[in-house]
Amino acid sequence: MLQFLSLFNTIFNDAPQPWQLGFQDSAAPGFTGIVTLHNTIGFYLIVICFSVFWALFSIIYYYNTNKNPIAHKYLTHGTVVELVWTITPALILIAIAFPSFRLLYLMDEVISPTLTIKAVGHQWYWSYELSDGCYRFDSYMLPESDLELGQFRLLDVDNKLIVPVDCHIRLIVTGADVIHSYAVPSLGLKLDAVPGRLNQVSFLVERTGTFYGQCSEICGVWHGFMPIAIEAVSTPQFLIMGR
Amino acid sequence: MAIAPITGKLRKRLWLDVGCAFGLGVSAAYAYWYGYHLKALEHQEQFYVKLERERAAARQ
Repeated sequence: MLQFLSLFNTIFNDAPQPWQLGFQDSAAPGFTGIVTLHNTIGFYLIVICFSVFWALFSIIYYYNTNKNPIAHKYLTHGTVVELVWTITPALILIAIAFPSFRLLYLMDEVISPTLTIKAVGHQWYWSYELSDGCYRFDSYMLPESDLELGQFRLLDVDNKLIVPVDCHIRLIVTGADVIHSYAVPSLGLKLDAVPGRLNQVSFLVERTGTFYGQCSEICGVWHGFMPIAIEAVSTPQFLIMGR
Repeated sequence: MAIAPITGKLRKRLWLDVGCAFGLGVSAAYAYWYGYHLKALEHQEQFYVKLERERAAARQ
């Protein structure tokens, strides 16, 4: 019952919840932009839904066979109405396309990064390289038997990726064997890890916390068991940990 | 006797239908915008303001 009620509540966690419908809380400007774009399009969607359903029910009610036994005979052609229902969706699509492209190109921009991290997808774990490969570690999912109280099943890993907050971070993603996808919803990250190709994205974490994600490209039998965990710490703490 | 063409049936209700559909649609959309989206954004803003205050207090 409580789970059902939680459908209508805001999610305050940085990991997915059972029966979650909405987005996770944003922790990066890029993801805030995505949520705003989604809600802006949602505005148009509601207007369109009301219009379509109103027209549908109005036509069903007033033009059914009981009320108009031969109405169909004269309702075969309507140039004006056809023009209206072709041009209007085109204009709506253009209105949606502009903010979408704006966000797409803004997110594509890599702003002089403070830190560059390379994430490599393997069957079935992630490995990370920092400082041009001087520091390298693997990140495996924690088995259920090793979980401690408060840790997430299928989401927590043995070695989390530690990043500083309020710093522009460049993430370079590639695959070692097959195509994987590096996805962390709270940070608005979803990047294909393709063997032989380097994909890059820039992100900035706005608050401390642990953010969870999963591989989002079917990559084999244990595709669902190679989660991602990113821990964002303050910059002084990050520097201390770096030593 | 031939039945006269049925015309103007759509036009009779057109403005009422378009008015009701867009009226309800735009009202619902604004309710969603102000009741959900801006509230969620405000909630998030408040969190970051609180965070910034805490950081400033910690620096002092």
